[in-house]
This record gives sequence, structure tokens and C-alpha cells, in this order.
Amino acid sequence: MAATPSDGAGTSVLGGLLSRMGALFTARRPDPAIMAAIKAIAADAPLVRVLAGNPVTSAAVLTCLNTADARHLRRLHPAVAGAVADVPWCDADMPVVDAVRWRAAFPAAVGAWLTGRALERKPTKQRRGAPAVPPSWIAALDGVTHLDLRYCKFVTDDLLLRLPTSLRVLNVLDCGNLTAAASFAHLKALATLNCSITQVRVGDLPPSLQELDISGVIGLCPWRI
Amino acid sequence: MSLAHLSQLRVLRADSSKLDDASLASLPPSLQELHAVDCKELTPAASFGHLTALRWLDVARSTLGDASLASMPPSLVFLNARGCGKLTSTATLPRLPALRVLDVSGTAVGDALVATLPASLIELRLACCRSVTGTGTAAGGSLDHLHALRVLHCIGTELAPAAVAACRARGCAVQAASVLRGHDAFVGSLAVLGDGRLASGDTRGVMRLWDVTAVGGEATAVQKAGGMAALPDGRRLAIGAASVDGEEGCIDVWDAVGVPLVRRATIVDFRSGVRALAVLPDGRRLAVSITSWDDKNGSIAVWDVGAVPPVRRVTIDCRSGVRALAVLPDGRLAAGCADGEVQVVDADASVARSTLAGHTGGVRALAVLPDGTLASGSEDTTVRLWDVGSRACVATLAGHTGEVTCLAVLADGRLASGLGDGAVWLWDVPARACVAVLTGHKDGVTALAALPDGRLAAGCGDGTVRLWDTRPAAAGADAVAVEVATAIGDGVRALALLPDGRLACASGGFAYTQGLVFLLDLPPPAAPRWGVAAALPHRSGVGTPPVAS
Repeated sequence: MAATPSDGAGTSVLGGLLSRMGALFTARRPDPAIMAAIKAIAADAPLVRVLAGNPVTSAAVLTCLNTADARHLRRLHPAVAGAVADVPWCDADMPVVDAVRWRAAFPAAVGAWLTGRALERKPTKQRRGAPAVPPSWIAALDGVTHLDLRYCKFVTDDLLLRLPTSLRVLNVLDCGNLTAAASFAHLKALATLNCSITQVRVGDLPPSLQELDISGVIGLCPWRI
Repeated sequence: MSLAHLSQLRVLRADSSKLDDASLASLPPSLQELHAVDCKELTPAASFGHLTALRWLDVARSTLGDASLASMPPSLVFLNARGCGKLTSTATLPRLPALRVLDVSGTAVGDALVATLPASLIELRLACCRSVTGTGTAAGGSLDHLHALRVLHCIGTELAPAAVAACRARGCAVQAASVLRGHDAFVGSLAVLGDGRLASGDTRGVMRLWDVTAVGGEATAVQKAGGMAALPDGRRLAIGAASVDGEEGCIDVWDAVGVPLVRRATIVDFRSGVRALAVLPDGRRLAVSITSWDDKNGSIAVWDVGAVPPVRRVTIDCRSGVRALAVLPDGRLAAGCADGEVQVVDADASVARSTLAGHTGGVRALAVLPDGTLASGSEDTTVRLWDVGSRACVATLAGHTGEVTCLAVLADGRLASGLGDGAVWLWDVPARACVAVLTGHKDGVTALAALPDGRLAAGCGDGTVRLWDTRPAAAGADAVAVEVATAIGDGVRALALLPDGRLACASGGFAYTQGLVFLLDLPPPAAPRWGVAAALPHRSGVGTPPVAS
């Protein structure tokens, strides 16, 4: 099943559930009969009780799902909607195309895979250099601890400086607009950094790092700049 | 520049980086896991001794040497030094009481290293270590002390049969296989002749013909080889070739009956390279795909190779590079093109009869299903199914997570698609549903081979060949496949099933220094897994390197 952009945008959480369970893969969409059966189950009161009756249970179950689109889940029951909002989602599988909509849908989320699709679809004339990141996006990322920005052209040296200091895991794999001047020093809590296939240098990495990926750094020697 | 200030660093991935001896020396002793594959700045004297917490080390194809090996810290649990060309036959290991998995395949290590192997080893990979005999020396050198060993990969070594038998007697799984040596460049194509002999062609333009039923049986042949096709008479072999710049091509037809081979005919008539060959059902005609270096122009030439000299019957312009050919049940040809189209051509006509359009990326693979439906795999990550008669795309199998690089039709009619991201998807074609995704390869799938018993072999760019039991009866309704094959070489380019049931695998050998053809004895369908560790290298989480158990 193809990954689809998430809230915003995406398919259904039920489809995501199917994918997670590894139960079925279909040519275009899940089998209608199976989808109907799952929807019937989802509408059943016991499932609602499982998801919403106990905060601990609901959080545990919900974190097994993904953030493709939680609208259907929220509509199950008002209590489920509350549980969805309270879950500290850290879904690394579903690409987020709009950070503001994502934050609105998952106010307690602490991690995401952010793509540049929305920002990089600007008309050609506006695409010179790195796409600009609106301040609302930066605000939406406030408090996140896990951020995957791989392949994003909008990731620049300046953007790095605006990332929240709460970050513990950061992936900037193949972010071509990072330069040798990029600095991670202000990210004092950073424990995991993937800056492979970039031009960054590693001289001022925060000492909090526990896991570092500098594979295939392009052009510049990461050690001797 | 020093990384000593990263005092909490536990995992460093620095594959293909400029990691050198000084940088290595600056790494903090907290490090538990280091990936330094293809690090050519390291010297044979690079030392790891200060990394006292190191448990997982992957330095495949790096330039460390005997002194480096001798400096390994006793904390090491996993060591992959595959393809380290600076290691010599005198290399030894220090005391490594925790070591569970060791891979030194494709190196020159010998019995001296074997003598120092720790008894804790569970999995040992010595493939193509030709200095290893296992017969023992004054200093040791036999495998008898490896009581915990459960998996031994010793293809291409000189291990004595008695040593292998002793391992098996202790409960160790030892893969049976042999290696055909002789190529000095990547072997990229294989063809099985009607009499069971195997032809292999390498990227340097050498073709060899092997009698795989006799030890050492070999007939060195000729010259350039791009693609190959065995003609149905069982005695002739057609070899398509391209010049280095891809601007010229030729076809040689060889009489493969005797040794040495006798060149029956050479066709040098192409202004572009040859990509693929297909023998038409009459056995006389050979279709050749001709492709310009930039993939923008291509055509199909049909030659009558029954005539001496061969006669070009027709040339069909496909307006794009032709990457794959398939013969349809009605005798027509399908050509997968770089522009995303599939051209259906009549070998007797000089123009393409129909165009199957729909792909948005180049077509890399074609397969004909049992009901005559044509399947095309594309760089647009889809497989399209075509009713060639009505020129209609009857289904699109979407959802692949990478470009489709190869296709195979299983014995029960299901379709397997190999992807550039290393996965193999199995499709129930009538239901248009993917019934399983086979994962595990660390690189793109380069070749698929469907076995008559219903299993599927997949060759991968990471040098592994995996055998999946894809039979519904064995795998259950959800067809969750079982991995039963093992890892070889440094990049598999082609697979071919031999009449005796063995699987021939074309490979670059180790460190891309030679070309090897492995002949794998396939385990029976119900046999246990070959590998304890699923594959090397294995990614692991922070601070918790996986340990074979």
C-alpha cells in the first residue's frame, strides 16, 4: 500500500491499520469487502470502549496506528477524539505535507516526517534557491523531539537555527541546500543526527549526540574542513 | 578534526566517508557500533583498540589490514571485514571472547586466522577465502574448536571435505556450492544451453562456456558479451555486445558444441549497443534490441541466424531505447522502451504494429503470463497488465515502494516484481492484489528466477541471493515467505536455473575485483534457514547491536 501524505492529507487510518498489520496489500485500494467488515467492527461499541474507555489503553492502541488521517477515528466517539488529540504521536511513516494542518490535527504530537511537497510546488519563478518556510510552520514544530526532514530542499542553514531546541532526533539526509556553514550546536538535546549526503561539517556538533550518520558526505571531508 | 568531544556517542555511521586513521583515533571510547564500509582513507595500520565498548563493526571493503584486525577490542560481537583487500594470509585475530558473527569473505585470510577464531562464533563467513584449507597447522587452523558454530559459508574456499563434514556433524549448516572462476570482470549475463552447459559473459567482453557437470570443465571463449541467448538447437549461442561507449554493437553466433568454440558467424552491423536478445519460436530468427547510449533511440533487428552468414530480415524503429524483449504466445515481440511505451512488433513487418502506452517511466522488465497477458514493469513503480490483442491496459498493479527492475512468473501463475529498493512483491494477478511483500535485501533486486517447485530466487545488488518459499501451501493463505538462501558475492547481476536443479548466480565476486559464477545447491523446500543472521550488514538500534542467537 502506497504511503500517502498525511494531515494534512492522506488516506484513512483504517487503511493504515491494515498496512501496519501486514494483513493485505492490494493493487489500488483495500478490498471493499474487507474495508466494510473493518468499518463494521470499528463502529462496534466494544472497540470504542477499548479506545476510549481507558486512557492508558487508548494511548497504547492509538500509538500503534499512524497519522495518515485521524478524522474517521475521531468520529467514532467524542472520547476517542479527545484521546487522538492527547496522544503524543511520533509517526515516522506518514509524510506530512503541511505542518500547520498536521499540528492542528495532532496538537500533542512530538514527531513527524515533514516533506517539502507543499513548499516546493511553487511556480518556477519562485523556486530559485531554497523554498521559503513560513513562520507558521516553524511555530507548528514547537516542542517536537523527532523530526525527519530528509530530501527537503527547504532545509537551509538558517532553518536549522530556527528549529526547536527540544529536538532529540533529526534527519536531514540529502538536504542539498545545507552548506558547510550549517550549525547544529544550538540543538543541545540532540541525541541522533543523520546528516549523510550533505555538505555539512561536523566540527560543532552538540556533545549530547549518541548516534551520528555522516555516510557519503558530498564533496567536503567531514573531518578536516 | 576530532570527534572526541562527542563523549556520549554510541553509534557512528560513516560509510563511504573520509574516515581516516586520525579520525578513527579521535572517536570516543563510548562507541558501541561503527559502520565504516568503503572507507578508503583508513590504512592497514588503523587501530580500533581504544574503542573498548565496541560491539558492532562493519568495515566491509575498507582498506584496513592485518594490524587493524589484530587491534580489535575484546568487546566485539559482530565483525564484517568482507572484501578488505589489504588483509593477508598471515592475519590473525586477537582474543575476542564475545564474537558471534564474523565475515571475512573475499579476503586473503588463511589458516592463521582460522586458528585464532574464538569458540564463541555462531556464524562464520569465509566465502572465496582461497587460502583457507581448514586442515590445521602446527598453530591450529582447523574448525574443530568452533563448537558453537551453527552457520558456515565456505563457498570458494579450499576447505577439506572432511572439515566440512565435521562441521555438519556438529549441527552446523554448511551451504553446498561451487564457484566458476576465470572472469576478471563483473559477470553480467548467463544463458543455459540446451545440453545443460552454462555460458557466462562479463562486462569486459569475455564470454565463457562451462560444463557445469564436470569439475573444472570449462571452455574459454571469445570476446565481447553484452546479452546472450541460447538458440533452441542446443548447440549455438548468440552473444550481443556493445562497445564501451555504447555506440557500436555486434552479434556473434558461436557453435558451442566443441572445445574450443567455433565462431559460426559474427554480426557487426549496429550503430548502437545491444541490450537484449530473444530467440523467436522458429529457432532460426534472433531478435536484437539496439539502443543508443542515451536511450533516446532504439530499434529491433531480426536476424535469420540459421543462414550462414546470418541475414538481417527486418529492422523495426521503436523511437526509444529498447531495454527488454519478450516473445508473445502468437510469435510477436514485445519491446519495453525507455520512453515508457511497450511496442508490439511483428517480426516479419518493418513497423511496430501497436503501442501500449500508459507508463510514465521507462519500462525495465517484461513477462508473459500463462494466459498470454503481458506484464510490464516500469521505473514509474507500477506493473501494468496488457491485453495485447485489444491494446488495452487491463490493470495497473500499483503501490510498489520502488521502481520495478525485474519480473518473474511463478509456477502457479502469480507474478513477482523485484524493486529497486530491495523488496519483492507477489501479486495474485486475477485478483489484482499483492499477496505478499518479501523484504530483507539491502539493495535493489537485480534478478528473479522462478523455480519449478514454486519457490522464487531473488538476486540483489548487495550480493545476496535469497530463496523464498512462495508456495501457498507452505506459506499459508497470506503467503508470508520464508527466507532460506544465503549471501554470496558483492552484487548479483543474473540468475539462471540449471537442469540439475542448481542455481547459477552471476556476480562481481568480492570487492569488484573479479567475476564469479556461483552454482548454488538449493535446499529442499522444507529445509531450515541457512543463515542465523538474516543478512550482512545488519542495521541496529542505538546501543543494541543485534546478536545472532
